[in-house]
Amino acid sequence: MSTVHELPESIFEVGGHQLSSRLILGTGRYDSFEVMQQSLEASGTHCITVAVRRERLYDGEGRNILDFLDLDRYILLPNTAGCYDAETAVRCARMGREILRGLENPGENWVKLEVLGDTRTLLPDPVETVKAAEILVDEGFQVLCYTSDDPIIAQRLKKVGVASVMPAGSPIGSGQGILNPNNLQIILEYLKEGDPDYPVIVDAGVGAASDVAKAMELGADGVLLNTAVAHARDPVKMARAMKAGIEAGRLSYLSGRIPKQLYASASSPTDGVISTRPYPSVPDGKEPSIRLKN
Amino acid sequence: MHIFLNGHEFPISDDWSVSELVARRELDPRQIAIEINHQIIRREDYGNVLLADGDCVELVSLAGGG
Repeated sequence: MSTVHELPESIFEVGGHQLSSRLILGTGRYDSFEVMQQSLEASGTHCITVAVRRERLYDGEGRNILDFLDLDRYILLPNTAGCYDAETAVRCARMGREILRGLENPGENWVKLEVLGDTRTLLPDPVETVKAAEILVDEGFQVLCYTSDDPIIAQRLKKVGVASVMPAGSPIGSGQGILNPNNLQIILEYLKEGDPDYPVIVDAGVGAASDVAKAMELGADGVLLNTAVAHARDPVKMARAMKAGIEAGRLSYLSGRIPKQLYASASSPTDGVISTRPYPSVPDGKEPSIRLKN
Repeated sequence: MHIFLNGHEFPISDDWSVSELVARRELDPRQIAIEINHQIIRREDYGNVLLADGDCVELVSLAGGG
């Protein structure tokens, strides 16, 4: 039996990197670089996502985000956010790689691939996503691929060779949590069948720490999120909550939950009670789930 | 003579290399990536690549993102 004081495994491997946290945190949408910095610290993350954007290097006070990121501590994961076709996403990935090469950050070999289909839902375009994934895998990228919760596309992406399939819990930034846990469970079963260490990361839609715990409890290897922390009333505290959610969910998954059943099962002894109890209401012809002695 | 820098017309001299452009924009070459006509220019080649009239140049860096 393992000790409850620490997680049984502290290292999580994905895309050729060993991460000390199963939480991947985004760096966008914080009120200030200082709040971002404190949130990253509180979350315990080891890997952070960044976007590639046209030369707009400074905030309103003339400061650069890179001055607030400890590149010796965090592995950067550049994304292709905002791309709506495979060709643009591939160009974006190549530019991200070139920047990270200049920064001498180990994240230069990987990319979070995101090819969107629609500006209102920000749902992925599955056809363009698969097309871009094929090109990037062919060019030697470790591709962590944002996708919908469709098990068939998830299988297709794994077959293409992406390092991790990252299904959305719900639309990006929506805070709706995991809308279809059944699909997520199917994805986990399909992708891990005969390959239990294949990493599946829930990406997008998280609203609170309970969503993170739910994803981990279902058996996801990690969670990637941004807005749920950045736009929380207290981002630093929420970052800490997300860390706790990851740990709680992971431990719960590893511990093995009890099966769900329709009727109750008493946790106190049924013998020796001082009261009389009514027969439970059960359908005709069925035995009561708890039989009384008299 | 001009190029299209990040989608906007930008005047240059005919002897400008990519290095010249980066220096004029006061950028740290380690923090950026440059693409000319959809082709990445590696940092080591900035001094050897000359800009040509009408080139479409993308000059990018990192921003916060999820």
